[in-house]
Amino acid sequence: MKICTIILNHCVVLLVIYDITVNCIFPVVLMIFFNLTLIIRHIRQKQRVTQQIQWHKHRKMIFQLLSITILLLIFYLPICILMMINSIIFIFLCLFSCSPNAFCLFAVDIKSLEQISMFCPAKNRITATVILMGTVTIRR
Amino acid sequence: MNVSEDTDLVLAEVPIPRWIKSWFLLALDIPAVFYTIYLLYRIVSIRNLREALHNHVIIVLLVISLVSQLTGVCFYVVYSKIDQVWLASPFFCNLWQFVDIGLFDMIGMLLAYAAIERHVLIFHSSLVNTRRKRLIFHYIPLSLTIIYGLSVYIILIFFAPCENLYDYTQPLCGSPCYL
Repeated sequence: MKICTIILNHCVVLLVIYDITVNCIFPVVLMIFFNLTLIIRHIRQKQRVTQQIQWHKHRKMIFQLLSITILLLIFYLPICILMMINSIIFIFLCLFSCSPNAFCLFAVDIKSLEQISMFCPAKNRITATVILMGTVTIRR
Repeated sequence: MNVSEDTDLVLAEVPIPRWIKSWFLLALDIPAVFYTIYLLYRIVSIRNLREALHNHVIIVLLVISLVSQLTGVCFYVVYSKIDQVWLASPFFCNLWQFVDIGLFDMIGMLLAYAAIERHVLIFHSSLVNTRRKRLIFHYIPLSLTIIYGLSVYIILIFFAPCENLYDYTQPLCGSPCYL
């Protein structure tokens, strides 16, 4: 699979970045932020003691969500971070090692990408491989 | 020059033997399916639980995880047994990728939505006290989250903007081409 040539297609590069930031990093950040504020607001509410029964009901709701969220984060957060590092390194290495002129890349059409990958210096590809092996994506 | 030798690393596996992983998955999956069905049955059959607004997200989460338990995990167990994808066809590969990547990420999105929703339910309960407000602040955001997650991954995986290359000896048939 000629990933190097495929990834140079700027459309696909943008899709990877979009998928990882919007569908992976963004929900995780939201999850952590809103769960923390939920706990803080809940504790503050207790000090203003209003209705005991309501307060206990809310605490149950928060515990329910918190337990699921923590369970998910334990497995999801490492994957997200590794995927992000992986894709960033991969994109950069492809951009800088495979092309003689990285700044022209976004104007390149798919047909000429095959030719560009011919310029890939073999040494750079080996370093790219070594760094990639260090940050492989964990999925199954 | 061919770049194929050094680009197979994109979707690497955890270095644990596949049979250990498949038994581990199977041991967790079987009780998980029963628990999920039991929980869904309880939540849907008891009127109080069904009508509580904070349980709606949980119902959606349970349905999604039931689907991925019954498809994604089983596909992997079969794959590790025969060292090949169960049905060697592009549609099956797309389906597996969708279930494994798409539904998994949807769980994250739904939990993020659930965290925001709890704020509304607990601290701004006046926003959900009439039918109209409930529709605007509860049902529409929930369904938008589901529709967004489903449509993004259906477009990215089934109608990929790049050419998918399937390797039937890899889990998930290799990765979807955009990754």
